[in-house]
Amino acid sequence: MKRKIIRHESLGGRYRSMDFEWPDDGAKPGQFVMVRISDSTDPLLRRPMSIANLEDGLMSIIYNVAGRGTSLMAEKRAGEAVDVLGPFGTSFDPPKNASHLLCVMGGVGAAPFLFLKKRNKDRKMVGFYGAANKDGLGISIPMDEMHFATEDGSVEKRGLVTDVLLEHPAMKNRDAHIMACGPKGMLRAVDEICVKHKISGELSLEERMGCGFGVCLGCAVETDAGNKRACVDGPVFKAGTIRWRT
Amino acid sequence: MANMKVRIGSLELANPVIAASGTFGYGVEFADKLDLRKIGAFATKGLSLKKRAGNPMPRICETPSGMINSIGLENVGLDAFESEKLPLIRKTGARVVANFFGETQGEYVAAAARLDAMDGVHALEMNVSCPNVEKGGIEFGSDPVLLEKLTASVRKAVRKPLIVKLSPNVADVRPLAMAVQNGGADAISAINTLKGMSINVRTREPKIRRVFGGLSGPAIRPVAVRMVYECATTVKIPIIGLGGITTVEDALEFLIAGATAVQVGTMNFVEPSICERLADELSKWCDAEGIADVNDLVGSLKLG
Ligand SMILES: Cc1cc2nc3c(=O)[nH]c(=O)nc-3n(C[C@H](O)[C@H](O)[C@H](O)COP(=O)(O)OP(=O)(O)OC[C@H]3O[C@@H](n4cnc5c(N)ncnc54)[C@H](O)[C@@H]3O)c2cc1C
Ligand SMILES: Cc1cc2nc3c(=O)[nH]c(=O)nc-3n(C[C@H](O)[C@H](O)[C@H](O)COP(=O)(O)O)c2cc1C
Ligand code: FES
Repeated sequence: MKRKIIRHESLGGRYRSMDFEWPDDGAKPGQFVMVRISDSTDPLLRRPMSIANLEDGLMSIIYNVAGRGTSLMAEKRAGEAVDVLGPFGTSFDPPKNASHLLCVMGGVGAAPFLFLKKRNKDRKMVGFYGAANKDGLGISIPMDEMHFATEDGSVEKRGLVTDVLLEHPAMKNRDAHIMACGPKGMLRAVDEICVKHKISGELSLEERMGCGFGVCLGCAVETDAGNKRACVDGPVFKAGTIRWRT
Repeated sequence: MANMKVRIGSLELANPVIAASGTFGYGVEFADKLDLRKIGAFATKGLSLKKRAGNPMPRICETPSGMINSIGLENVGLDAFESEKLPLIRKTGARVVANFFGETQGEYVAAAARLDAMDGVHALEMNVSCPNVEKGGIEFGSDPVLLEKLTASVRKAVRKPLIVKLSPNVADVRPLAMAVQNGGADAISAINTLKGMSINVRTREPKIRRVFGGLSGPAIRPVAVRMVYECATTVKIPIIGLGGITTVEDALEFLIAGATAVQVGTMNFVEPSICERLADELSKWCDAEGIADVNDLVGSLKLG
């Protein structure tokens, strides 16, 4: 479906945000869309992008210029059309009675949490935002409490975002709920923390996607219940169910 | 309006556009994306007697105007297909080509016989790009003697139209097309994916965990058109042409090369309603060009 781009700008640092027309079709935080880069066949496949907001008839995505597809995407201008399919996949579904909502975000993986917070303004959320350096922390989210970690120490704590999470007092509480999106290593660490601390958690996984709607089987995720598709059975999976491969 | 109906053996299709195996799930996933009754048919994901988990990740990567996949023939198996998928598929009113494979001739025959008995399966498409575990892993589709034997034994077991899907990973496709015809199949589909490989130069790892995978998409189209032409000029049975079809012109190229029908694969991922659009555009193209019957285009290549 072709949608008109209303705004397309740099967020400073490595990320860009694109807003295009989209009706409020009930899309939920954690879900994603598939963006076609061009009408030509190269690049061929659509690129999966998390929904970073849906409000007042506009959908936002926030992306990192990572390779050829996203570089070409960055050249699109406001007023032009972008071909987007979705929304696809599962969403974050934090339990109503959770004592604390802890959001662990790695780099551009913070994008879905912007939408999550916007849709849950009245729920208190603590953000843990990590990246290699300052440039990777470019998404600003109005969390009720925010902690940062950078591998080079340029912002707040030097080290991994999961270390900051472990130091947080809420971790002592079994009724806390952790949600995470970011690189695989981070997700795996969060998964292990959830299991060890017996805290419920949800992880949003990134896999290569051919279609985004369940038919190519390119996005298999090994779980305790056999192969699942990241695009329809995920991207958000329950912590403690993934079989990680090295 | 031009006649769009084509025949594949005893099966009549409303139009020549079929969705290709492995790119259309079990059809039901597309029920909200297009009108399944407006396309000729769809082919299911390749089915085997028992369910299969498939290959480790990563299974796909993008290449110039194409992609490589190594899904490993993951599928739900015939039991779940019959009890869970087929009842839903029947409700859509779609024409169904059941794509299947095995690791031994016995498995092929058993799978084919079961599909032949299933209500709601209109035709069978045999994927022969699979290693024969009894013959040291040589692909069924690469040896004419093996292929003719396999085709003949499956033929004996089924009454529904039997299509054999040829692999392009052979030096000469013509003896294989001949073997399929001699074995008694109703039609040939060509081509399956081309064996390919792609490397991440930074990590020096193959982009696909299993190193090799099947290349598909617009990149393979000229190879596919050539092979369809070779098949069509070798055998009398109808050919279903596929490989990289993206536009109505691409579909026409296959028809003119000698295909009676076409399949659209990878592009279903990019544009999920493409089969319906191409069926519609093909009909409009015939009308605009004053072609009364789409079958008149088949094999109409003019050589100088
Ligand atoms: C559910 C989901 C949500 C995502 N949300 C976002 C988001 O909100 N913002 C954002 O910046 N990125 C997001 N990504 C990652 C994003 O899809 C990739 O960065 C992007 O596809 C890279 O494309 P490229 O052509 O620039 O890179 P290239 O490396 O040139 O891409 C080559 C191929 O690999 C695939 N690919 C490359 N990196 C990834 C990756 N990390 N995950 C999946 N496929 C990849 C591409 O889609 C393409 O098919 C998400 C991925 C998934 C699976
Ligand atoms: C992800 C993927 C999975 C496929 N799975 C099957 C399969 O299970 N059985 C089969 O016969 N062909 C399978 N194919 C091959 C396609 O049906 C088709 O022959 C090939 O992709 C060429 O057509 P295209 O270029 O239009 O995609 C698969 C192709 C892709 C891309
Ligand atoms: S991306 Fe195709 S099945 Fe998930």
